[in-house]
Amino acid sequence: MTRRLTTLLATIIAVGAGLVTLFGYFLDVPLLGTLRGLLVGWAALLAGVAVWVGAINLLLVHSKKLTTQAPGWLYSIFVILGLLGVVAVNVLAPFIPGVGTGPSNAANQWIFQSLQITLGTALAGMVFFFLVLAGYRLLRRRMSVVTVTFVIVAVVSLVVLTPWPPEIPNPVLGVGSEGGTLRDLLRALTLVPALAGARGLLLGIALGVVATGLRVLLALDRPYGE
Amino acid sequence: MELQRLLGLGFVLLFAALLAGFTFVARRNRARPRVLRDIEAFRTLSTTVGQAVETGRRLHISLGTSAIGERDTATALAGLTVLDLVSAEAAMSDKPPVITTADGAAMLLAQDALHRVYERQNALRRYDPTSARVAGLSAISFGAALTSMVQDESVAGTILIGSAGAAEAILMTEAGQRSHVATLAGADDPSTQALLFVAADQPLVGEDVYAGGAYIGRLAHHLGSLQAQDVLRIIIGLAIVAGVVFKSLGR
Repeated sequence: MTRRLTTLLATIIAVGAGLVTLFGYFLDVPLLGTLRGLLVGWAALLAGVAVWVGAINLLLVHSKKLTTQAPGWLYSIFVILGLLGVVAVNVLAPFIPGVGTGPSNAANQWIFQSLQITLGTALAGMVFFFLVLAGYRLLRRRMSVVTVTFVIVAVVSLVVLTPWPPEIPNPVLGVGSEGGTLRDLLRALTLVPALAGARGLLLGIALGVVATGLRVLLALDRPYGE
Repeated sequence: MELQRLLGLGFVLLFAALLAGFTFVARRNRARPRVLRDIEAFRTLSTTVGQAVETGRRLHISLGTSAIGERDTATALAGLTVLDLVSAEAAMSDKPPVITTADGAAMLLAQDALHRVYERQNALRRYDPTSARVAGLSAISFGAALTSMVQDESVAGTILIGSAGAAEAILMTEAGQRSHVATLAGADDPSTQALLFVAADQPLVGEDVYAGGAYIGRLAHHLGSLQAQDVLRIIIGLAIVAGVVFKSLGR
């Protein structure tokens, strides 16, 4: 009984807050606008709390891995030391002369530029090799008209989007008012269908997003409990 | 601007009316379920889950970097729907499914969904709150954490439904490929979808990412939602064609 009441209350709050925010965006009613601003402010505050919750969860999961010596526990040491180190640096920063205070203190900037950006860039650099490998695997795994077309278009796109080597002829075809070249034609053949396809995908994604939101607003989906 | 807002509100109200109407019809016609377009990823999903249960390994469900309260909230909710439906079967395995996210709020919702699944099965003593976890708080740390998860957690299959950038998507699928683990993946960004089309075993394209509830659970309101989306897609398509014609005629 108590559970049903809790669920009912949660549903009323969720639907009410959703409707006020939605109508506050579309309608020029001062009261709705004020309420919407208040709710969005609370949501931002909760998002900040969620970061803390996430950090604590990260610490708990890796502490458990470390104490039980679960596979990969060695990496957990670095995660825990990194997390506690960054927290400690930010707590101590105001007391160290010349480091500064707040999120943009010198210690944070050093950590961000020397560690996070460097490691992130190194990891992102590997993406290219993984992609080439994945393209090769795709042809072995799912050979079909669609996959072959995909790979051909990907190769043509790479050719026309990278600088054109002077050794390869690029004749003027006389297409368009200024006389387009072979490369212009290939670029158009690649980019126009790609843009059209991407817009089609975006349209479908947008409809999916709105439908998901409306299901929550109509209390058909209740991710906050049954 | 005022006209644009009113049109937007009209669109949302029409969408809501269609969704409610089609849901009502779908609930009444439960005996005659609708025939849905074949999506291979959802068709083969039960095999992947079954393999995880039979081999006593885990299923890895990832919500990506979707965050509750951000612009990708709907994608996180779509992932949570799939999590709710799939983990009911996966929870029967000796090892519980592992759920990863990069957002604290999404992690709490995932924990709650998993808790409900075990509660429904009267198996709450097997529920482990750390099964739903934040793998990393930034996109790149999240992607890096997932590279070792497949092997460390004895994963038999990976499902990604959520937001993901190029780097984390490719790192996750590559880890799956190295360990010969089937990967079903869909994201809300077209460029990531293109990457996943190449890298994942079973990619989800376009709005398929949001269709999990209709395909896996045959939920009436999700089936109604698909129908409403189809109607609105036709209306928007006709509006675009009409706009092109009028623009071409110089009006």
